[in-house]
Amino acid sequence: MLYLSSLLGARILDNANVQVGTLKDVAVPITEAYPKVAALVISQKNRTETIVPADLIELVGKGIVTLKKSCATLPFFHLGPEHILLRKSVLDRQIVDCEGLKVVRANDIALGKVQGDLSVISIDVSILGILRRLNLDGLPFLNRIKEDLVPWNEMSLVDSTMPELKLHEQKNQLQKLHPADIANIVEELNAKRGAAFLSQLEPEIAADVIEEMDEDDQVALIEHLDAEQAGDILEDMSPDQAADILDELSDDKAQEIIAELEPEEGEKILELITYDAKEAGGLMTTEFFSVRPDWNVREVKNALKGSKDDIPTITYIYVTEEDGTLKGVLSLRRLSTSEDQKKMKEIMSKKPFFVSPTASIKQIAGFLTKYDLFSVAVAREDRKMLGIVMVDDIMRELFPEA
Amino acid sequence: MKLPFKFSFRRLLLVLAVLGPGIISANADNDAAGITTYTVTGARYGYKLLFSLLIITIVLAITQELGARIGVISGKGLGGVIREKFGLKLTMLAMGAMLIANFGVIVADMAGVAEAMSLFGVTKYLSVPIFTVLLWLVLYKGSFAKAEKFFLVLSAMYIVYIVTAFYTKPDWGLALSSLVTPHIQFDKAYLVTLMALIGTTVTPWGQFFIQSYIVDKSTPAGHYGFQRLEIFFGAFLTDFISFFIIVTATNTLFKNGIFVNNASEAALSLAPLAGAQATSLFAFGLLVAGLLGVSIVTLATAYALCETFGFESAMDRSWKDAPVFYSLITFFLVIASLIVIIPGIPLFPIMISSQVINGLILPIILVYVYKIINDRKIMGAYTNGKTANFFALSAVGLLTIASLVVALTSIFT
Repeated sequence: MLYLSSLLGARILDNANVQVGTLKDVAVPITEAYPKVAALVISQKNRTETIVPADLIELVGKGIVTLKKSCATLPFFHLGPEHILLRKSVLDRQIVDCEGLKVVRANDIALGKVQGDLSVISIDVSILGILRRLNLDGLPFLNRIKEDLVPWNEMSLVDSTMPELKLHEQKNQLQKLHPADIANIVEELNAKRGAAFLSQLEPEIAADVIEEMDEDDQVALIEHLDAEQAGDILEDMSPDQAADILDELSDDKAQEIIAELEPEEGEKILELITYDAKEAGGLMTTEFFSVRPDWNVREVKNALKGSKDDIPTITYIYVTEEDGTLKGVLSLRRLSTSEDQKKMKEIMSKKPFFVSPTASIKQIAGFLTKYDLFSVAVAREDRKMLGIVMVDDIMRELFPEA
Repeated sequence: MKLPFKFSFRRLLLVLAVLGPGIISANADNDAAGITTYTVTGARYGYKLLFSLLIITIVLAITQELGARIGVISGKGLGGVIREKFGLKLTMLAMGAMLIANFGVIVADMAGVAEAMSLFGVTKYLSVPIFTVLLWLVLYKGSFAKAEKFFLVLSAMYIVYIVTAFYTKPDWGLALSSLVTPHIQFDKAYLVTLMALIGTTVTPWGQFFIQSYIVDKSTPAGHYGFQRLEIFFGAFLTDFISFFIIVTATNTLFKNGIFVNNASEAALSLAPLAGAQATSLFAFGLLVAGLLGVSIVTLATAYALCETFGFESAMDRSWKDAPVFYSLITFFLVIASLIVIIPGIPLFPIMISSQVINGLILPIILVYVYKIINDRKIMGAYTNGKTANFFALSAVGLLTIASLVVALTSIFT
C-alpha cells in the first residue's frame, strides 16, 4: 500500500529525468467512492506552484514520481469545485468514521490502484499512521499495534472545506445513517462545530438528527447555526419541539430565527411559545387528524390512508369546522364499525371533551383518567381547537427518569 | 414581530453560563507549588514583591484571553489547532513539551497533597493512595457537570487563605500601598523570586486547559464579551488570593525573621505566631490546592493528547468508549503518586523543579499561540490587532526573560 505521507515531498522528474519540483499536495474529486487522483500540486524551485494532471504520471517510486512529458510542455490542471486537496483539507484533520460512528483524526491516507488508476482507498486513523510519519514504524514492539483504516467512502469531513458542496452531493455514507447515529456523532463535537457539521446536511435530515438529542444540546446547536439555516431546520421539526427550542434560545437569536420562518409554520410555532411548557398549550402537539362534519365514513377512511407520517398515533378523530372550531369527536372503533355512507355529524359525539390551553398537568391527568381517554383535545374558550395532548406526553412529564 | 417571551433573567443566566473557565483555571494556577512560592516570597521579602502581582495579573489575563479566544472562534482545543496548522512534527514538539511540563505539575501537586496531609499527622503512604483513588473516581465516574461543581467548590475553599491572613492582624494600609509601589532590588535571589512568582502563575497547562474548557462550554462568539470578563475576573482572583498568602507570610514569618523553605514549614511556624487554627487552615488550603492542581492538570493533559491524536475524550463516557482518555488519566495519577511515595524522596525540590521546567516550556507554547492568534484563516475577524499584538508580545517577551532567568539561576546555583 502507498501512503500519502511517503509521497509528499517526493521529487518529481520529467521524461528526461529533469527535476520539476517536489510533491506538495494531491487533488482528488470528492464526488467519487474511491476517488482517482486527479492532479499533483508541485512546488517548484522558484517557490511557485504548478498543478499537473495525474494522467501524466509514468511511475510512482520511493521518493520519486516520474512524468510522461518534458517539463517544458507540462499542461496546467485547473482545480474544480469538486476537487479536494488531501494534505490541505484531509490529512491531520478530524473526520467522521461513519462505520465506527466516531470522530477520529486522519493520521495518514492510503492510496492504491483501483482498476489501474492511482486512487484514494482509506484513511489511516491509527497510532501506526503517526509513527510512520515520524519514521518510527520500524520499531520492533510496534507490530502488535493494529492498523485502523477507515474506507474513504465511509468517512466524512468534520470541517467542510467546501461549503458550496453539500454532503449529499458527495459520495457519502452519512446520509444513510440513522438520525440517532448522526446525533451521537454530533454530540461528540462541541456545539459550534456540531452546528457547522449539521448545516452540511439537508434540513429535513438535520431536523431528524436534532430531534434525537436532549434539549440542552438542541438549544446549543441552534444557537450556533445562522438564522436562515436554523429556521429551515425548525420548520422541519415538530412545531412543539421547535417552540420549546425557541423558548430556550437567547432573545436576539430567537427573534432572528422567527423572522426567517415561513409565515404558516412560524404562526404555528409562535402560538405554542405563548404557553408554559407545563400546561396543556406547552405539552400539546399541533399535528392531529381532523375532518369536516359533512364528510362521510368512506371519505374519512381515505383521508386516514393518505395522512402524513408526522401525525402521531391516531386514536380519535376530531371533527372541526373549516376555521378549526371543534364540533365533535369519534373513536376509530366507531368509525370502522359505521356504514360507509354515514356522515360524521351523524355518528360523532357532539359533546367532545377538551381542556383549555392553560390546564395544568395535574388537571389533564385527572381528566384523562376520569374519562378513560388516551388523548384529549386542547381548545380555546371559543372552541377553536389548537392541538391534542396524549397520555404519553403526560407520563413523560410525571416520570422524566423513565 | 415581537415575541411574547418571558425573558426576565436571561441576562443574568448568560453571565452565570460563562462562569467556570476563568475562575477554575485561575484557582488551579494557585496550586501547591504556587502556594509554596508565595509563602517563601512573603517570608523572605515581606511586602516588597507585592507590586509584581499587578503585572502578573495583567500578563495572566492577556495569555488566558488569547487561549479563550482561539477556543471560541475555532471550536477546537489548542492541540487540535496546532496539529492542523503546523503539521505532525511541530505538533510532536509542542505536545512533548506540554507532556513533560504537565507531568511535573501533577507530581508537584501530588507532593503538595502529601505535605498537607502530613501536617494533619497522616503519613503520605496512607494519604497519597487514598486521594489518588478519590481523584480517580471523580475524574472517571463524574460527569463534566459534576466535576465542574467539585472544582468550583474546591475553588471556594481558597477563602481559607483570606481568613488566615486576618488571623495575623496585618497592616492593611501598608500592604495595599506596597501593591502599587514598585521595588527593584538588584540581587540575584530577589530577581529569581520575582521571576518564580510569574512562572508559577502563567503556565503551559493553563493555555491548554482554558482553551479546552471554553471549547467544551461552546460559548457562542456573540457572548464572547461576557466570557472575556470572566477570564479577566479569574486572573484577578488568582492574584487576589496570592496577595493574602504573601500578607500572611509577611506578618508572621518575615516579621519574626523565620526562614522557611516550603509551605509546610511555613504552616508549622504559623502556630506560635497566629494560633493553631492558622496552621490547620493553611494546611487545608494546601491540600485543596494540591487536589485541584492534580485533577485539573491531569484532565487538561489527557484531553489535549486525545484531541490531538484523534482519540475519544469526554468526561461523560465509559472506559470502553474512551479507553485512551481514561488510561492516560489513570496512568498520570498512578505514576505521580508512586513517585511521591518513594521513601525519603525530597518533596520540596520536586515542586521547585517542576516550576522551572514549566517556566522553560511556556515560551515555546506561547509562540504557537501567538502564531495562531495572528492567523486570519483560523481567527477571521478575531485576529489580533496591532495594540493587542503589542500587549501579547510584551507578555510573551516578559515570560521568556522570566523563564530564562529562572532556568539559568537554577542551573548555576
